[in-house]
Amino acid sequence: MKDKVIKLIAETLDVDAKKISEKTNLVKDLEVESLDLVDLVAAFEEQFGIEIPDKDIKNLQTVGDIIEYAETHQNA
Amino acid sequence: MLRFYYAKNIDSHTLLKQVFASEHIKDTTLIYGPNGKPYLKTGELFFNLSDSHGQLVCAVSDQEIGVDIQKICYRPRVARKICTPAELKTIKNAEDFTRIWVLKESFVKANGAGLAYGLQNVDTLALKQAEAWRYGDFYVAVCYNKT
Repeated sequence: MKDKVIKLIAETLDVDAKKISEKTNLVKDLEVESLDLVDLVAAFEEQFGIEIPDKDIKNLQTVGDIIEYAETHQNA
Repeated sequence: MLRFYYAKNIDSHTLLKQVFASEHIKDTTLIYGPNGKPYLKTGELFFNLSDSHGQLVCAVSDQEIGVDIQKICYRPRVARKICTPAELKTIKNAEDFTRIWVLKESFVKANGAGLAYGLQNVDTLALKQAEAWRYGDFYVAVCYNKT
């Protein structure tokens, strides 16, 4: 799951996957703007078939948060 | 009252300091709403900041306000997620998409909910209290009323 999420983030944000780790902060390290974040959420939903409620988006601050969200919700 | 301050390649704290100085704000203590929106503790002025690709804008007003700036681009996946069917039909190019994006963002920033509000719940075709305009390679929108 970790590798899949990192690949998705790298592709969506057009950044080198090698620069992404679980500790990577989306805003501070990858300079993600709100448009990027919504694009990332949409890509995530399409790829993993998981709907992320709008109220949960603000909790996705690090790559680790997204990995954890995917792991928790994919089989929920 | 509504005023805009634009700046490039500075951090938002620096711009905010400049804005408060220009607006003669003495007590710059900030408090935060439930979704993190900052306010002056004194309530003497409302403000809202946005940045995109190094371009910043700060709007100040005597009433609740939301502002958004975005470099012109087109993200079809985002359009599918946040636009109503009627809005989707109006998108012919990147400018159309970006205009809708900043209008929606300015609305959810004005009401303080941010993305938690759900951008798909903002119908820009029915939105009366927001306006958008082009600023170089960017689009800017401001929304005045708390709704």
